[in-house]
Amino acid sequence: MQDVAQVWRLRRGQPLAVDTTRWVTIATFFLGWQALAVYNAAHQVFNPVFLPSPAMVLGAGRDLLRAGVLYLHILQSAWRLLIGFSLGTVAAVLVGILVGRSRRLESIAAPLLDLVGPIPPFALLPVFIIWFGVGELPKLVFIAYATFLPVLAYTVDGVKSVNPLLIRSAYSLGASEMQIFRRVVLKSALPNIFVGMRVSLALSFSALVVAEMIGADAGLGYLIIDSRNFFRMANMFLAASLIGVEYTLFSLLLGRVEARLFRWRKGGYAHALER
Amino acid sequence: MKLAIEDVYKSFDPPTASHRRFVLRGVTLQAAQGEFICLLGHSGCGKSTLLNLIAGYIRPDRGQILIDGMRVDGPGADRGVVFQEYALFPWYTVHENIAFGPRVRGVPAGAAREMTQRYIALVGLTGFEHVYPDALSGGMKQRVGIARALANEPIVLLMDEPFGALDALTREAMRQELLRIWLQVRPTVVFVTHSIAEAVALSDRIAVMSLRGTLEGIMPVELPRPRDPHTPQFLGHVKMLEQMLTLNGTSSHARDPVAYRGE
Repeated sequence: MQDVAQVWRLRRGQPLAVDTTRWVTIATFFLGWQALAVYNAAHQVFNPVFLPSPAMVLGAGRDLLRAGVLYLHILQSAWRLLIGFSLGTVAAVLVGILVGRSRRLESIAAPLLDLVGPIPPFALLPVFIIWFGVGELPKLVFIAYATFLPVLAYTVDGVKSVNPLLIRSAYSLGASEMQIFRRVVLKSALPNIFVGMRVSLALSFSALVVAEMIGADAGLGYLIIDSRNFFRMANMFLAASLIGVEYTLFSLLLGRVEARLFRWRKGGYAHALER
Repeated sequence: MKLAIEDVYKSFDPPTASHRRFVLRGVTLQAAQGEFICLLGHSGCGKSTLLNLIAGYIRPDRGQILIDGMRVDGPGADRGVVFQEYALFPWYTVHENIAFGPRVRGVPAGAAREMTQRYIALVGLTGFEHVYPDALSGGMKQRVGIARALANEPIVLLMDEPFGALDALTREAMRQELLRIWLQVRPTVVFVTHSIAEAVALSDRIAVMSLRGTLEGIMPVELPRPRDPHTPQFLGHVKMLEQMLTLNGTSSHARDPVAYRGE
């Protein structure tokens, strides 16, 4: 995990020395929150039920863990996200390559995307539920849809910006259409596709939470709504934090895959000057 | 003849245009097995267009190009191309770049590796097999470009100002390297350049192109290699070519005054 974090910081061009500041900041945040909650519980500045302390949130987690339901919620959400995000990405890359290769297809697709693109995916969730019922399908389709559009846009852009000289040299080396697609076009568009995936990851997490808040019986989004119904503030904070943790893990995973795939890539601010 | 260019015309204006400007008009040229031919001319004379026609990236409006008697119809592995901008695959290592041709043509992995290793040694890149192109200097990149094209054992090797992006010292060294490689492998080479000295140093025959898009003339260079650029014979060739190009290029002086001078 350490090397991933290092890759991230190097990429942003920051020196590694911020590490201590980072942990001090995080610790101060939680201690401050704890102190505020404890002080408020004693002096009742506002209703203490509104702001549980970090210790109470941890306690809520321990209780749910003992009841054996916390794993279920965590895994349910992770699974939904993984399936929905993968579906959306694969579909977007396939469509994006087709559209990016043909000017005619692009001229058909572009106005359609301009038409549908500005509508926030969340506005369409009720429509998805009516179309696909209340089961697992509408949630997965909804998350996939939220993932689809940004990845598509970045894929088309990536395919269109493939260096034509590389395609020429691949032809002259005897490559077939399919080989050029796999070894040149896709490889060249991949960094772009990953930028799209990064943008989409945040969107698909939002879609996950919204989908789970409406008509689900498990998952972290459901846990938030369920806790609200019983006014369990600590559980709400717990579920929200766990969503944050899941997002961070997925994001680190993506970064790790990127770092492996794009070892050939050099550049950016961090490589401009030796410090 | 390994390569035969027969009465080739090319225009980039649409066939329906009322006045079509032709980049090439009736170019005819042949190259024998193992011959080194330079296409020499001012920028804008159509020498790169001719190379792209041989490579099959573009199609002639009239005439035809034959490789070993077969009409060119699109790009293919029988014509290896080396680009001025190298055009290496940045996501592949030196080894993977050079193995690209053999691999896509279905040579089994073991044999392909052996071939690749042989060409890596030929161009002097042993030890750099697993480096990505980004980490190489310009001269080394072009060594990869040459090895990659040769690894397919093409009938004709097409080189489009391959040393144009290199500094003068590297350029000189790469010329020697190319001659050494050519003498060892003996492919038929068509080499595009606007440097007179480069053309005289390398070629068996120099095809001088005019700005009208025709062949101004073909000059054989029958000097033993390696050629010393300070000998009177060498300088004599340079002078003759300068005259051919100046006579033909008077109208273009203002446009590109240094193009014909070489370095």
